[in-house]
Amino acid sequence: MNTERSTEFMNATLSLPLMLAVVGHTNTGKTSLLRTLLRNAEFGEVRDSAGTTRHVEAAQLLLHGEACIELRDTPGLEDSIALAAQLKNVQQQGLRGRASLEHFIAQTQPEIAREFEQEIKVLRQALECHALLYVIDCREEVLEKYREEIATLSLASRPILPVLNFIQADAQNLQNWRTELAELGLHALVEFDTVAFDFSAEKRLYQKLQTLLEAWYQPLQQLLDERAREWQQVRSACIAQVAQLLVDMATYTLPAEAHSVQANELQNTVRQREQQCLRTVLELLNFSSSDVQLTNLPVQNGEWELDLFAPETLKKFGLDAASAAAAGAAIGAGVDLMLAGLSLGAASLTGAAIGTAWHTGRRYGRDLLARWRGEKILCVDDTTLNILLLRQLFLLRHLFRRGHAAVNPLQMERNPLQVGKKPQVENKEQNQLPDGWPRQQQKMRELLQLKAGKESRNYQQVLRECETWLGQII
Amino acid sequence: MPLSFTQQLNAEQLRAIEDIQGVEPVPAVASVGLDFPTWLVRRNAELSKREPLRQMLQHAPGIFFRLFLAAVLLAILAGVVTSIKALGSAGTQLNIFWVLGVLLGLSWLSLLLWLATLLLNRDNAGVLAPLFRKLLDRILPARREPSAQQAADRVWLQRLLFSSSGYLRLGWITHGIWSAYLLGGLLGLLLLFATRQFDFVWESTLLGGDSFVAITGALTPPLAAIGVPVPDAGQILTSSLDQTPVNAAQTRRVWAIFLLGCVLIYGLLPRLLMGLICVLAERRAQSRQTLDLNQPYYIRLQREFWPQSSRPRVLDADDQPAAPLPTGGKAGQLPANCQWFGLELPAQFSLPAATPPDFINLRDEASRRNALAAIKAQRGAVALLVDGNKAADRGLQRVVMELAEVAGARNLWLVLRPQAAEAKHQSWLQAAARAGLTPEQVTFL
Repeated sequence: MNTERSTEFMNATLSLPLMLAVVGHTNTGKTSLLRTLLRNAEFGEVRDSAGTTRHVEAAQLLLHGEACIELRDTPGLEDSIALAAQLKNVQQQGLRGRASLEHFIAQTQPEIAREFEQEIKVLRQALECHALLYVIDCREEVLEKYREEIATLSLASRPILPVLNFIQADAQNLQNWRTELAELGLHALVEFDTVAFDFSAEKRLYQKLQTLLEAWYQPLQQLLDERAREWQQVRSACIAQVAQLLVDMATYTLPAEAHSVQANELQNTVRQREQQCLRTVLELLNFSSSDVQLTNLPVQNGEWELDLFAPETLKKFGLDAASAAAAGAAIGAGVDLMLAGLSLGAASLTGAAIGTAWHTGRRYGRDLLARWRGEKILCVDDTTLNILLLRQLFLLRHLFRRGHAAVNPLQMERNPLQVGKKPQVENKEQNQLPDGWPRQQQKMRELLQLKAGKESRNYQQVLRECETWLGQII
Repeated sequence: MPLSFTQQLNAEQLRAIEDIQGVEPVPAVASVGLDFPTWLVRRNAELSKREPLRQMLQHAPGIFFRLFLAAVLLAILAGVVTSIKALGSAGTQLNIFWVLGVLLGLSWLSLLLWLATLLLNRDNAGVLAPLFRKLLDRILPARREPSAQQAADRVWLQRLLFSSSGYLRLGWITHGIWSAYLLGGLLGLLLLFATRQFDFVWESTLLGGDSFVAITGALTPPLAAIGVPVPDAGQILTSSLDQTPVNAAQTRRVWAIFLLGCVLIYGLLPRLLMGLICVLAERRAQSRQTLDLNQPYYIRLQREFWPQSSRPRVLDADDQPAAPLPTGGKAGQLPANCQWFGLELPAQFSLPAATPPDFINLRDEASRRNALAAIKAQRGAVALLVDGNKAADRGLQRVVMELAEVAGARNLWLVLRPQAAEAKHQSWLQAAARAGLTPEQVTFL
């Protein structure tokens, strides 16, 4: 069977799925890589400990429902030096390359087979698959044992694509790894952080595979296109959710009768609506709210930890907590619609068409009546809208760059760049309300004055504009 | 594949329903090998045949159709009644141009009004259609927590009446109702002309007969074109109030046909034409609308029926029993005057004060050999410094075993720095156990 596969590979005939073995030293993030590529946070088991994966587990990347790539997660290589010594014995019998590996797997004595059970599982996959993704933990220094691993894996005569993981940890180590891999003749490599997700990195990974596996160029391209489309779609969908939340809340009104009770109701509506948006966004990005604890993000079990109207929240986002508290918990500013209503009515009346006037009269008649009776309406105030925006931007920026493998807070803490320094930088960034926000806010408030319902074209237009704007600033 | 407007509307209505009722599986339509929009259209077509979904989808258009039909019938009735009322009570003499004004004037005035309001306020053009929309809005109101049926109805209303093509639909509703009214008027006229005899006259204080010849002449060409007999100059002049036509019966007939023709050509036809333009423009505007596939529902559908990855399966199971977890004991006291070695310590590792500057860090074969030689030469207590942030894999375990063999299991101490987390500490205890070390010999600094 193996020789068949071998000739198949040499002739570069296409067969789907393309089989890729994910290999590497133990605890380098192989399973994490699979989770991220598969968009499945439940694949395998991930722990910061050696030998977490002890079996070979496979899952296929599907394109239009058909298998395109089969990824095989393998146990980590743990003792490559001793393994190399064993293989040297085999090679002394005159066997080279794949033959030496095949012989080692088939002929080895039971006690050696037991000792190297994990390694044999890996070698078997290396022989069976079309190419190998060799995952490297860049926090580790380049050691002899890793060179031995690569040397052993190259015996399978399959293209090896090194995947550099944890790239943000140590720039010097990363450079050393690049140099070392170049010396070993591995020039095509890809930087792919399984924790800090970046779609462009995934794209590069597929592109590198395309150069290594020319026969699969077309299906890989299709998969790449499909993944790009999906990513764009999910991104836009999340942005649309946030835009809807903002426009919805900017135009939400309640008649102000018993002030205190209504203000509470308004606050609750805003809270519920924000939580609903958060849940949808998490779902869209495939983060299950129950089991993903979002590090660096005040979100737990799919709920914001900090209440929207708590003074700490305002402080955290750099907004003036004192003024917000003074404004009756940042809500309930009565908006007097009358002036706007009148001026708009007058503008329409200059058109002097009977139908328009009739309609205008109907539209503002109730306002006039309310004005006459001294009624006011409650709407969500600017501070609350600002904090909604800042919170959602913070959330989206975080989630868009989050790998499905990111479950371990320790990995974040270990990262020297992020400890201590980063939060401050982020805070400063958060404090700034983005450019163009006042303009957007004004447009939303105009809807309130126009009394444009959700189904109206005005509303839809403001919503689209807000989406475009959010897409640009994120 | 881009979806047609009908398919979009269907998809959106089903979205509204399924967002509330949950997604229904359609096993008859396989997803493999199709792109999402194609699959969606086929699935929806299949789904729309099912009861009660079919009825739910038809609910809003059904109401719209019935309402429109009722309006049209009412308009026809109104037209018949108005024309009979207007002419029937006038006696046997009818003022031709006055009747023409009555029959066409209102229609033209409202048409001009519609055109004017269209330019000023597109979405609320006219009077009739916004009323019609208001009525539908009342019958199928927007609700905060709608039922599936209500949500589907609202989507239909939104896509057809409140969207960017909505004003065109309002347009053809207006013209449709007016056409019906004019048709009713025409029928009423026919009825009257068929059953009663009228004398058609014109009268004026200021204008002479020439003016009426000119007016009639301006109106008749389209009538003549379709082969209808039109009044000639003689008939027009002799139809003056104070004259009697030569051939009275013939003149009466010509005038009646002229009136009917005018209502048809200048009343009904423009309205029908406008209506047709609105219908065509609506089609065009609808074809430009797109379906927003970025809504959570569609993404959910894609995920459910088009998974990005298959279910994982185990290919090569782990049949070795898990190694028993070593029982951790209390860390013992490290003897003084140890010989210090490091095990794969990273460059930035903070060394404890006890380590001599020239200690050997075991990183490769050469350093391992050097270390073994040094241990053999000295034969005392050996402290092996390991990185507590790392777990002991089998490669590291083997090195520990080799050192224990040379130094003697009792003489080797594993020194973890910093103190390892639980899982990692376990792995070092395991390494120690395999090398024959007691748990006391695993300590930390």
